[in-house]
Amino acid sequence: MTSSPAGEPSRLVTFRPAGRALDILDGESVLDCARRGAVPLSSSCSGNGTCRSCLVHVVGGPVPEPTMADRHLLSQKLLADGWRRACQIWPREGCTVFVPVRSSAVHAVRSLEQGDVRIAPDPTVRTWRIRLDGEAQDPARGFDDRLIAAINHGGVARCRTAHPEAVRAAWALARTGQERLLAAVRLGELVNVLPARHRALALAVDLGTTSIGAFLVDLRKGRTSALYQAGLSNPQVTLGADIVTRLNHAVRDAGCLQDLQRLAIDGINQLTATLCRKADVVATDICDVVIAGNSAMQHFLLGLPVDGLARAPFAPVQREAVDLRARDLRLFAAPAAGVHLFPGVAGFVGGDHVAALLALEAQDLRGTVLLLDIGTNTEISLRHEGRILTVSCPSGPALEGGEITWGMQAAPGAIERVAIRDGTLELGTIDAAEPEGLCGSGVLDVTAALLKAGILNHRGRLQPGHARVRDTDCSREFVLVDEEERSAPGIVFTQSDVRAVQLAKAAIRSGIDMLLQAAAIGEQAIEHVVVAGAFGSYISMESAIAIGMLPDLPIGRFRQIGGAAGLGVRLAALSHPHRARAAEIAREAQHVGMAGSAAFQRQFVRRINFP
Amino acid sequence: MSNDDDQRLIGLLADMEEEAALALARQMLDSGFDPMRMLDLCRQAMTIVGARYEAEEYFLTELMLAGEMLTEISGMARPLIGERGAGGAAAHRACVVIGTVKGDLHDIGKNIVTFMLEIAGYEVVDLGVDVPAQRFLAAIDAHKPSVVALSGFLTLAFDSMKEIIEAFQEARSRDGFKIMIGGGQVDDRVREFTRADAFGRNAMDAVSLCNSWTAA
Repeated sequence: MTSSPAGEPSRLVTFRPAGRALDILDGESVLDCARRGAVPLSSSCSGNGTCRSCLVHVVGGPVPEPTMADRHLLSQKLLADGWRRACQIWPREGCTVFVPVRSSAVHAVRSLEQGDVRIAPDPTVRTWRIRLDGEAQDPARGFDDRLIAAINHGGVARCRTAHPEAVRAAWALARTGQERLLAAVRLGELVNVLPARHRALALAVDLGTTSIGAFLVDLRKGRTSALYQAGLSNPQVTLGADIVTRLNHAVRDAGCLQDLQRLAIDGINQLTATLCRKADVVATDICDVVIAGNSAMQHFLLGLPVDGLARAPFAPVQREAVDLRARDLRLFAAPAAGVHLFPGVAGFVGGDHVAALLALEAQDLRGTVLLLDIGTNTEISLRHEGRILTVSCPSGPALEGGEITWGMQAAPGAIERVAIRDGTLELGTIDAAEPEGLCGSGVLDVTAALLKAGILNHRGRLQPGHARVRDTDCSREFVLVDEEERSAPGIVFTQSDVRAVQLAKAAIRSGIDMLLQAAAIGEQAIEHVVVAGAFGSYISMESAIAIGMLPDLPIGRFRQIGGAAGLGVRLAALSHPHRARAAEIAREAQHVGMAGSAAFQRQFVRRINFP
Repeated sequence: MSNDDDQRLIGLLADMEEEAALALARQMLDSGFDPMRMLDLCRQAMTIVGARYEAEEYFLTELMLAGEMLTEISGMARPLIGERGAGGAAAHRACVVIGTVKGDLHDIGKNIVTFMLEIAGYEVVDLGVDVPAQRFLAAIDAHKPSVVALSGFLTLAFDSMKEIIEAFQEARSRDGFKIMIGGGQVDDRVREFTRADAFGRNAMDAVSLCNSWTAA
């Protein structure tokens, strides 16, 4: 290849259907190139070449030679047709790359059941309508003194100090002749001042690994229902689909930790902007912010070191609640508005789980309750006779569609329902789009359906003899969508996918076993099983029971409350007693035997078979 | 003593028929079966189990159950070995010290490697999980292994592996044994980083490595 500019071949990589084109750099893979240009391209393993979530079709220009890894993973036909993994090609010349829906999947954010409740309004940030008319007793005293005097009008000591940012805001309003103001006081300190006709708002954020939910609530109301709510796929997904991948990145590279922090803040701010537009308010009307995420997410948001969370015994740097100002994190809100991060219990059992436990109490579920938040790490709590026992299980990304051959995020085209009726396979996809892959609920369903049909034995071995079961070079697989049925690679569920599901469900079930053992009760004593979290609200409880992930209890005892953590943060925004109760829950909850202990491992292996 | 019984025992063990296998083994030993040969039959059965695991037919539960049956039968047979005069016939077996390194609790992969090495005839000393350098050093002193296997799944476990291998170097020369690492996403870069002698992607790799080192 000559180096003369004129003779140099084009290095332009065009991504379809996004329509973006970028010059690829030396030594840069197509995946890296896509990331640099913010072209949506998923990568469950973050470019390590261990999954196939970044599968793309090279449709124009020279098709790079497949790597050994791609040869091993993809069929002859696929390779010949120009399918490669984006992390496995380093084109030297320009080409056109088609990114199928599955590989560009942006998580579908769907609204969840909220289970709203009424409470007595008693927020941490209280608001008072004040008048700045009349002369100050001593005109030479400060404007802040006038403000505080107006708030404490009638001799009631409501406010002791004023934050300079709040004073600045009040001054700006007073200069435009506004005398009637709304003062927001947080535990004796004036933190914000707004025009009297505005509503004092709080922002509640459920900072999830996969998606972020944000809610605007009215601080003067005792209803947890949000004025407006919005959701967003967590922008950190580009640095790893699951939390463990992100942790590993952050540990290896301090710059990555900064990126994770920036992405979390950007995500929240983007949602705030959307909410303010919808509500037709300004961000400075937000007088308080409450955020709950799992331990890792909260560490990322604060930019705290995560080394402790990446290795046993998985100790967080910061477990107790944190209070900062919006300005510290550059969050869109009044600059002196408080930002409250939920306390965690221990290890991976973080603020989001405490928020879900808080929501559970508000929902008046009496008796013995099991609460699960299913994800790459699954947190489970058992509430029994006044005690809260908690465990965290390393369930892995399989149940979210990660580490599954044809796994994908819950996006249009993801197979989310699978049934085999009278020997006929029935598939349901998100938005009824053409099937592209399997999301978590589909993974669970297909496993349950295969078990029920006897295609899978109770030890997890795919049985030969079914028309859709075929043996490949070194494995066996069940064909969900044939290559012939679509003009793209066929969608299969392989023997090793079954094994991944077995490991995941055994981790969760043995976690439940550990809790029951610690409480010295049997599973029949569980009166309610509450499945929280985004993933938990879409899975079929019947399938979860059929594969032995959840105990076989009457179906009426199961509840799916997707937005439990979101409800918890709204409660803490609107009620100081609830916020205080969250701290109590976090302290009282007993972290039971770590997953990885000998007892857990024994129970884990016992739970690997299907029921 | 019938050859039929031999084959039946191997079949029962390989097919996970725990009760029937144990009953038959007891009955055979009671009627004077050579305990050394009994252990050899077990080894043959375990080789089949290992092959079925490799072929994805069996999974962790089967390996665990096979391990339990093996322990039971060894418990019955070993006390009889001296009695019946076959003692000392056992070939010297190379020793492997294995453990999941400090800061990591994953032991499934390590247990599979242990099982496969035992099938292959190695004496395996399993130190468990979250094992610091000192415990490895103590085990090396006590057992004089040919191979030390460090397992770890978490990315940070690679740091532990490096530290442990450095501790080996400080404490003594590394000439007495080989070091292999495995678990998670180990590759040659990780091997180089930790300065181990070799890495393995799966249990079969581990056995091949040990075989190549102890063959001479």
